[in-house]
Amino acid sequence: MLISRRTFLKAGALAGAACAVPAAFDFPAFVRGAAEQPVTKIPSTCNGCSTNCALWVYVKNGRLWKLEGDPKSMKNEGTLCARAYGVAADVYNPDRVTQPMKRTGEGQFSPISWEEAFREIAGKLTKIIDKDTASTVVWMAHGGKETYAQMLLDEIGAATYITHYSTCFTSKTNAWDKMVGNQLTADMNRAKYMLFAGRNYAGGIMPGAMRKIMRAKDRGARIVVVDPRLCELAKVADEWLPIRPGTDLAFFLGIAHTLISEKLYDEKFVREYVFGFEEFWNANRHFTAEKAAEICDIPAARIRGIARELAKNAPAAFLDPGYHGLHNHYASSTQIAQANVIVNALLGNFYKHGGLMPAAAPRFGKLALPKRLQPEKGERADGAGVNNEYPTVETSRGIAQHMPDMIAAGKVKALFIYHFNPLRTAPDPEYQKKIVTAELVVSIPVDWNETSVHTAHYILPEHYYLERMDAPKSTGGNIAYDYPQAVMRFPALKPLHNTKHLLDILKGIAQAMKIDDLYPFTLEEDAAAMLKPLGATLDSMKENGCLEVAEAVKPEFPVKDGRPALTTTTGKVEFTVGAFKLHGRMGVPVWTPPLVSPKGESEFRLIHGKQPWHSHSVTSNSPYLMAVTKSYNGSRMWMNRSRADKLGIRDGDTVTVEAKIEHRGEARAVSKKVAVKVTEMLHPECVWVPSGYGNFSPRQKVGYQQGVNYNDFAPARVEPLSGGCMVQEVIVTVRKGG
Amino acid sequence: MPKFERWMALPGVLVLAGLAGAVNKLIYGEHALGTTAAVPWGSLIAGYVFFAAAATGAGLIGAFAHYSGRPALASIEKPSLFLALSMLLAGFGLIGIELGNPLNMIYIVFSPNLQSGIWWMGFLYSIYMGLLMVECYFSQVDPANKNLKFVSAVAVVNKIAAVCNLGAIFALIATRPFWHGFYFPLYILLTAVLSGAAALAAAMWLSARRQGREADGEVMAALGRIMLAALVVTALANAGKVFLGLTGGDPALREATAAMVSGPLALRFWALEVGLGLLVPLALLAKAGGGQRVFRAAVMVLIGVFFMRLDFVMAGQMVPQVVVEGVQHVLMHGYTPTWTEWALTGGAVGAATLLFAFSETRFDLGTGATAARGKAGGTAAARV
Amino acid sequence: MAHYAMLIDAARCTGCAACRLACQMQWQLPPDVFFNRLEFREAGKYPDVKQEIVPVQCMHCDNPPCATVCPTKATYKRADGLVLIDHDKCIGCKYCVVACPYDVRQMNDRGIPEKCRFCAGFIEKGEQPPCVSTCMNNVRVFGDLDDPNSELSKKMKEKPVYQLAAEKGTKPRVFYVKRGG
Ligand SMILES: Nc1nc2c(c(=O)[nH]1)N[C@H]1C(S)=C(S)[C@@H](COP(=O)(O)OP(=O)(O)OC[C@H]3O[C@@H](n4cnc5c(=O)[nH]c(N)nc54)[C@H](O)[C@@H]3O)O[C@H]1N2
Ligand SMILES: Nc1nc2c(c(=O)[nH]1)N[C@H]1C(S)=C(S)[C@@H](COP(=O)(O)OP(=O)(O)OC[C@H]3O[C@@H](n4cnc5c(=O)[nH]c(N)nc54)[C@H](O)[C@@H]3O)O[C@H]1N2
Ligand code: SF4
Ligand code: SF4
Ligand code: SF4
Ligand code: SF4
Ligand code: SF4
Ligand SMILES: [Mo]
Repeated sequence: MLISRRTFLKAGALAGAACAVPAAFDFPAFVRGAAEQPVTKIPSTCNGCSTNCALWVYVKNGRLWKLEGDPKSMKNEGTLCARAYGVAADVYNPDRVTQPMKRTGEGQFSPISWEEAFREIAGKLTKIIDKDTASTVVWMAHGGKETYAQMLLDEIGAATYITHYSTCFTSKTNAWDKMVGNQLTADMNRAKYMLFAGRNYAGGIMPGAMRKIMRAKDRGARIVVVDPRLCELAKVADEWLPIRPGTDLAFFLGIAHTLISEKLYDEKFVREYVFGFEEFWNANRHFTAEKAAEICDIPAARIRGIARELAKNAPAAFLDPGYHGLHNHYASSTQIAQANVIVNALLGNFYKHGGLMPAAAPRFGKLALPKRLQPEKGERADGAGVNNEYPTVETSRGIAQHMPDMIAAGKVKALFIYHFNPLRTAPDPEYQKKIVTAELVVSIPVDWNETSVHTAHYILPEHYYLERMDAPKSTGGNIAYDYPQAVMRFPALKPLHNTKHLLDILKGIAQAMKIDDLYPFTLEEDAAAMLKPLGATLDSMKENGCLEVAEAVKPEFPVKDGRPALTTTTGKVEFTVGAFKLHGRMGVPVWTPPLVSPKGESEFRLIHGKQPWHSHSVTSNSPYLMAVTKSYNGSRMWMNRSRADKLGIRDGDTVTVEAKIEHRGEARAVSKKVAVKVTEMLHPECVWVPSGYGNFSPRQKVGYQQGVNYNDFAPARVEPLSGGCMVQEVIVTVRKGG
Repeated sequence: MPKFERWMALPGVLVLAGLAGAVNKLIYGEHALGTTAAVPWGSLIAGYVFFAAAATGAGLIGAFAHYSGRPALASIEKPSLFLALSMLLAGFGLIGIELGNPLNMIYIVFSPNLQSGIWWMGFLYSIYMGLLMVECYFSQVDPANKNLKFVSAVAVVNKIAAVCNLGAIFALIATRPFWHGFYFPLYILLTAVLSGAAALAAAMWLSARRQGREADGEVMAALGRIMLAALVVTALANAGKVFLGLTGGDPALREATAAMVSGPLALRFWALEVGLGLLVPLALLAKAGGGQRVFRAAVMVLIGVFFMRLDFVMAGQMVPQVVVEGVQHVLMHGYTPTWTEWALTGGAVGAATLLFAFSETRFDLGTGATAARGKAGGTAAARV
Repeated sequence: MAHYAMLIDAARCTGCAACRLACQMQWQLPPDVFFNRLEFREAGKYPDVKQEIVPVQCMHCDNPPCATVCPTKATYKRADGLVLIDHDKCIGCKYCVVACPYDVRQMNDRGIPEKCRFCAGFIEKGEQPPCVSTCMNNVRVFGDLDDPNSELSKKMKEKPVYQLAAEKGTKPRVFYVKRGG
C-alpha cells in the first residue's frame, strides 16, 4: 500500500498514533497489490445488531479488507446492511478499550493487568457473597442466555441474570409466551397479504426479511404499513396508514371486531385451537371499527377494509408479530401484543404457510460436563417473577432499567454488565448513572461506552467479534424459514489489543475465586460438541459458512393424542391470560388509553425509531456510519409541517425540547437542543427522533453529543405486566430557538 | 543577493505567510482548502486567473507601447515584460500549489488531450512564459536584435490566444450556464487589459517612490487613460451580463446572476467589485490630476478585479446542479476560503512584488532603479 | 465487445446506504469519500405523501464531459463503456469535478478525483459489484447491454427506462426504471 503524502507527513507529526480509518488506497497500486497479496476468506456472523447475519470476512495483509454476505443464510441471503461494514471497520476505531482498566475517579481510569483485575474482582465478589448473599450478584447482558456466564451464576447461587430485552420488546415475548407458548414468525416467502404495524423491516433492518417481502411484492402480494411516520418500509409498501401514536390497540381491536362481527374469521380454527374466545368477545363486542377509528385516526372504512382483505387472503396473510416498535413503548404494550396474537389467530394463520410459522432451529449437541454441587438460589433481585413485585415478567429476560433502585435497596451489590450499555439504551441516563454506587461494577464492552465511563469500577474489554470464535448459533427467529440453519464466528484477525474472550475472562475470575474447573473445556471443544449432531465439524463450518439442515419445519399445528398441544395450559391459543388478571385487570386485551397525551400547540408525543444505518447506541461512534448521518442530516428530529408552521419552525432550525422526568416522587426538568426536519411524512401529534444518537461518552469522539436520544426524556418506569420501559408515554414541549 | 529595503518587510511577511499556507496545503491537501466536491474550485483558481490575466494584460500593454511608438509609453516596455513575468510566476506558483499532483504535469506532454481547455492553457501559458523570458533576455543584452520583432509579433498572438483560452476553460463547460458561452473569453481579455494596466501603473508609481522621486506624469496619465477606457467598457459589459443573466432563459443562469447581485455574493459584488473596483476608480480617473490619483485608482482596480475573478469562479459553481428533478438539498453551495488560501493569495502578491523589485535592481528596466543601486544589471542579465 | 451498464429501480430503494458502505470497503475509501449517494425527495401533503429515494453514482457517460476536459487523458473511456481514472496521469486540476453534471466526483487525500469504477473486475469474473450484491432490495442490476441474454438486457426490456439529466447530452450508461413503469 502506498502511503499518501498527507498520511506520511502527518505520521511524522503524530508518530505512532493509531489510524482510525484505512488510508485511501492508490487504485493501480491496489490492483497490483491485490494480485500479489493472498486474500483469506473467513466465515463469521455480523455483530452490527442481534439479527446475526452470516458473512465472509476478507483479510489481506493481516488487515480487514471487506465483507460479503453469506448467500445461504436466511437472515440476509447474501446481502448486508450498512452497519455491517461500519461495525467491522470499527475494529480499527481508536476509541476501543485496549486493555483492562480500573476506575480512579469520575471518568478516570488507569490500566491494570488482567491478573490483578481478576484478583481484585474475585476478592470483592467473595467478600460480597460471604457478607451478604450470592443473590446480590447480578449479570446484565445484551442477548439471550450466555451459557458461560450462567454457569458462574449457577456455581455461586446467584439468581439474577438480566437481559436487555426489557428495553427492547418484552411485552411481545411475554404475551406470545403466555398465549401461544411459542414466538411464531411471519412467512413472507409465501404470504399474499402483509400488515405491518410498528414494524419497519427496512429501518429496523433484517435484510433477509426485506428480500422476502420484496419478492412477495414482485409476486403481487400486498403490503400495508401502519406507522405514524412514513417509514422506510412504508416507502415501498402499497399503502401507508398514519396512525395516531399510542393507539394501535384500538386499531387491532377494530380489526378483530370486524373479523368477528362480519364472520370473516376462521371459525374452525377458533373452535379447535382457541381458548377464551368468548371472554374476549364479551369484553369487546361494543368496540366497533367506528369506535376504533375515532381513537386511532384511521377511517373506519379502512379498518374494516383491511380486516376483509386480511380475511380474504387468509391463511396466507398476517399481521406481523412485531419487534421493538410498540413493544417497549406504552402502558398498553402487553395488550397490544395480545391483540396481535388474537388478530392472527382469528385469521387461522397459525402454523400455516404464508401465515405464521415456528422458527426452525437446529438441534445442537452439548458438551458432557461433570455435575457440580450447586447452592440454592434466592429470589431474583429485579423482581421479575417475584410475587408482589413483577410476577408476570419473564424470568428468562428480567428487568434492566431500574438497577439503581435495586442497588439503593441493597438488592444488588455486585454487577456485571456484558455487551450492554444501559446508560444510553435504557431510560433516564442521569438516573442510570447511579449504578456506579454498587459495591462492584464490572463492564465488559469493546468500546468506551457511557456505562463503562460513568459506572464501571473495572472495564474488561472483550476481543472484537472479528478477533474471536463464538459458539454456533441458529439463524432462526423473527422471520420464518423452512430449514434450520447454524452459523458460527471464526477469528478473522489477530487481536489488536490486550483484550480477551468472554470465556477466558470468566475462567480468570472463577480461578481467582478459587473455583476449580468450572470451565473444563475450550471454546473449540464446546463448539465441536454443539455441531456434532448436525454432522458438522469446526473445519466444515470454516470451509462452508452457514450450515443448513435438510429437515423442514412443517405447517402443522402441534397436536398430541388428537388434542392441541401448544405449551400453554390448555394446549390452545389462549385469548385470555389468567396471570394478567391482577389489580382489577382483565385477562383479555381491552382498549386502554395511553398514560399521557399531548395538548396544545407546543406539546408532542415523543416517538422514535431505528435508522437504517445505526444500531442502538453502538454505531454512533463509527466514522463511516456517522459520515452517512452527516451526508443526510440524519440526526434531525422530525416534525409535521403544519405543526412546525404554527410554531414558526422551519426546516433545519434548532429547537429546544423539554420534558419533566418524575421518578419515585422526584421531578427533574430535561432540556435539549436539536435540529428539526420539517416533513409531511409524520403524524402531526408527535415528533420522531432517530434512536441512535445523543452519545455522551467523552471518550467517543465521533459520536459525542450528536443529536438527542429518546431515553433522555423518559423516566425509568417498569410496565407491570411485562417489565417494559413505556418510553413513548412521554410528552415533550418544543419551542423554536435555543 | 539584492539588498533588503525596509518596505520589503511587508511583501516579505506575505511571502512567509504564503509559505506557511503552502506547507499546510502540502500536509493536508484538499482538507486545507475551503473547497468541496460541490465547489471544487476556490480562491486559488481565482487567484491564478487574476495573475495570469493581469500578466497577459500587462504584456499586451507593453506590446501596445512598442507598436504604437508613443514616446510617453516607451518607458514601460521593459518594465511590462518583467512585471508580466513576475505576475505569471506568482500565478504559476498558486496553481502549482492548488494542483493535487503537479508532478504528473509531464503527462500534459506525453498524454495530451487537445480537447481540454486546461491542456491549451498549459500549452499557451508555457509558451507565454518562454516568450517573456526571451523578450526579457533580449531587452537586456540585445534590444535591437532583428529577430525580436518576430518574437514580439508571435507573442502578441500568443497573449490574445492565451487569455481568451483562459476564459474558454470556463466558457466551454456546458453544465455551468453562468460560465458557458462566448461572453467570458472576451470579457477576460478586456479585464486582463484593465488589470494589466492597473498593475503597471501601480508598479511604475511604487518604483518611482522607492527611488524617492515622483513617477513620470505622462506615463501615469497614459496608463490612467487606458484604465479609464477599459473601466467604461467593463462597466457596460457588467451591466449587460447582469441584464442578460437575470432575464436569460436558463434558470441556473438566473439563479447564479441573482446570487451575485442580490444573493450571498452581493455584498462583495457591489462593494468591492463594482464600488471599489469600478465606480470609485472611474470617478478618480475621470478627473484630471497627478500620478498618485492614478496609483490609487490602480490599487482599487486590482482589488476589484481580484474579487471579480473570485465572484466569477464562485457564481459558476454555487447554484446546485439538478441531477434528480425536484431534488435540491441546498439553495446555494457555500464556500469560504480558509486561512491557507488567503495566505497563499497574499503570498503570491508579495512574491510578485518582490520578484519585480528584485528584477529592477538586477536588470536595467529603464526605471532608474538599477542605476540607483549600482551596476549589476548588464552582467546579471546574461545569466537569465 | 461488452458494453457495461446499470439499471436502477429507485422505487425499490429504502435508503439504507449499504451500497455506499460496501463500495467504500471494497475500494478502501475513507469515510467522507463515497462513490454512490442517495437523493431524497418528498412529494405531496400529509397524509397523501410519497417519498422518493434515488441512488446516484457515476453514469459512465458515453459522452463524458469529465474525459473531454481532462488535460492528460487521466480520465478516459474504455471500449467496454467504463469511464476510469488513471491516477498516475492525473494532475489534480479538478476540471473533471467541475465539468461532471452529476456531482459524482470527490477528491481523495492524494489530490486525485475518485468516483464509481463500475467494478470491472467483478463483471469479468461473472460476479456483481458490491453495491449491487449487498442491496437487500435488489435495487440495481448490472450487466452487459451487448449480451441479449444478460439479466440487465432482459430487465431493460421489461419496463420503460430513463436517464438522469439526459438533456445534457452526456448519454449516461446508468438507466432508471420509470416510476409506475
Ligand atoms: N438510545 C437507544 N436506546 C435503545 C434502542 C435504541 O435504538 N436507541 N433500542 C432498544 C433496543 S431494541 C435494544 S435491543 C436495546 C439494545 O441495547 P444495548 O445492548 O445496550 O445496545 P448496543 O448499543 O447495541 O450495545 C451495547 C454495548 O455493547 C458493547 N459491545 C458491542 N459489541 C460487543 C462485543 O462484541 N463484546 C462485548 N463484550 N461488548 C460489545 C458496546 O460497548 C456497546 O456499547 O436498546 C434499547 N434501547
Ligand atoms: N438499523 C437498525 N436495524 C435494527 C436494529 C438497529 O438498532 N438498527 N436493531 C435490531 C433490533 S434489536 C430490533 S428490536 C429491531 C427493531 O425493529 P422495529 O421494531 O421495526 O424498529 P423501530 O424502529 O423501533 O420501530 C418500528 C416503527 O415503529 C414506529 N412507531 C413508533 N410509535 C408507533 C406507534 O405508536 N404505532 C405504530 N404503529 N408505529 C409506531 C416507528 O416510527 C418505527 O418506524 O431492529 C433490528 N434491526
Ligand atoms: S441486520 Fe445489518 S447489522 Fe444486523 S446483523 Fe445483519 S448485516 Fe449486521
Ligand atoms: S443498498 Fe439498496 S436499498 Fe440500500 S440505499 Fe443502496 S440501493 Fe437503496
Ligand atoms: S457521470 Fe460525471 S464523472 Fe461519470 S462519466 Fe459522466 S461526467 Fe464523467
Ligand atoms: S483532476 Fe485529474 S482526472 Fe480530473 S481533469 Fe484534472 S487531470 Fe484529469
Ligand atoms: S459499481 Fe463498484 S465502484 Fe461503482 S458504486 Fe458500485 S461498488 Fe462502487
Ligand atoms: Mo431490540
